Amino acid sequence: MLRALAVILVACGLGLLIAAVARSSTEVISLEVRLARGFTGSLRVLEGVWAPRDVYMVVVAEGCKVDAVLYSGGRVLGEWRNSSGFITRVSLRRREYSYLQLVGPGAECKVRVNAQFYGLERDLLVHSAVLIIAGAVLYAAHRIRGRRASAVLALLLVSLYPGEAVCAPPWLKPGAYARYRMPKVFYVILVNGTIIWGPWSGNFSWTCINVSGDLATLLVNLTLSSHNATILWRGYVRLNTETREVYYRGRGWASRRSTFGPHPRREGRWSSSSTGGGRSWEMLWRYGL
Amino acid sequence: MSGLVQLLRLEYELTWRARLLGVAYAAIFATYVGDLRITASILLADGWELVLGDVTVGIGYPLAALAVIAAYVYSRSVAVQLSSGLMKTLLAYPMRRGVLLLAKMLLGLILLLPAILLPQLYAWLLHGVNLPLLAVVTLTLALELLFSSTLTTLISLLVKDPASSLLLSLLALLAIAVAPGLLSRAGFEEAAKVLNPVSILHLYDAVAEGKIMGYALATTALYSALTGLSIALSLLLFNRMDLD
Repeated sequence: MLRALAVILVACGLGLLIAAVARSSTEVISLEVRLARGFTGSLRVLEGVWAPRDVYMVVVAEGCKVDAVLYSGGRVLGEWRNSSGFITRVSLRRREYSYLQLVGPGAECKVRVNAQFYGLERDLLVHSAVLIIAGAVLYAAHRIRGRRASAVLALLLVSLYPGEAVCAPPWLKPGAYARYRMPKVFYVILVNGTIIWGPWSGNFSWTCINVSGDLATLLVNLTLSSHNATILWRGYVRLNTETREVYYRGRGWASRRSTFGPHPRREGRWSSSSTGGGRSWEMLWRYGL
Repeated sequence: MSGLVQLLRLEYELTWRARLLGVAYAAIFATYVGDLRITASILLADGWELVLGDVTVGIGYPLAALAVIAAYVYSRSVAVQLSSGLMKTLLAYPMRRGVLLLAKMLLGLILLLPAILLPQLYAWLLHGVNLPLLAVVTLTLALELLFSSTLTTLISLLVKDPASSLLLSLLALLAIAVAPGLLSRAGFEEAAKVLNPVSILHLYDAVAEGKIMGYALATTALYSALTGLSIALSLLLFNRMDLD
């Protein structure tokens, strides 16, 4: 009975894996939206539950400029203001309710949206792996009876525990610094939650002052300017190098991934450019030690 | 009762085994989830009707997989045991012949019904459960399974040779599968709809639109009647069969 159950679990996992591969062909969804003159409301397109795959999206506005926001599971994945078109690539992690929101510019225009879903569905892959592993564990328990079975089962469960293996970046030493140039930032969220719309451009930099255990002290400089205002901010923040949490004046301040930007690929000075998180701003960075 | 359980266990050991069970589950899971293509991109907000459409189009592969599995299993279960003389040994159990044959069919149903249900439950849990649709798809697949298994049993009892009975069963099931398309091309649209097992899915219209298409009921009745007829003929044939 246990053996049959184990075989069924492994079979379902393999079936799911085959199905995931069969479903991985590129799916293209194209549509055209005509916005009438005087329409300034918002319109949702591609609304529904999106499969957790990579999505390559091309939006072209003909004869006008539109504002567009891409939402997934209540989060903003990308935002484009006053744009005549954009190309973006998003990697969806979960099967979530998503849509692209277009805001009419008031002028008559045509917006063409093309979304290509490609790659394997992540949830199907995870579920198939879970089924196969569960079946293998059951099969092992069937083969190895008694106390030995429970020991092997415990060992397998411990080895499968998805614990986090993290370490502090070895290149983060006193004197290490990074400079970021931000040609275009659409909005700035202040520490008190106020949103100030841009577009802004400016520089962001941090210099490592001290590293003590897991805590590093960074001196952060932020300069942003728009056509009629300038924001200057300078302060010391503390960074937990293990969890990447940032604290300012004793309070959690920034999300885990926002501190360093990409890791340096090699030592020394170098520069590159990137389009991050589906946003249309470009970031240039330089690391130095 | 314990005799029946013992017989089912023996039949499982002789015909099924874990490996065959695994192949059947993997095939049905892969064909069902693989065919539900609409959920591989965007399942639109009002997408349940589209899902039904997708199921209607894509259920062909799970139906075909079920037919092939049933043909293989029942030709193995009946024809192999008849040709090897094992059936005579099984009849040594203090049970009537009819019960033995029905036990074979019952075991197939018990083992394969979860194989039909599991991928559906998985797919529906991924997108939200729609119980009426789940029930209708299960009914369609279960009727197909019953029909394929009873037809193969009947052919196996008639032919007795394992390879020939498997081949004939597959040919018969293939003929039934392609018949709706041929009838439709010949202009017999209504007959094609009634003969197509996928029409059973339109029982869901009772929930979606408040009315049932006539051909959906006709198809359900037809496949139920054919299954009943196959069982009756198989029992008649098996009871009168000279096994010596």
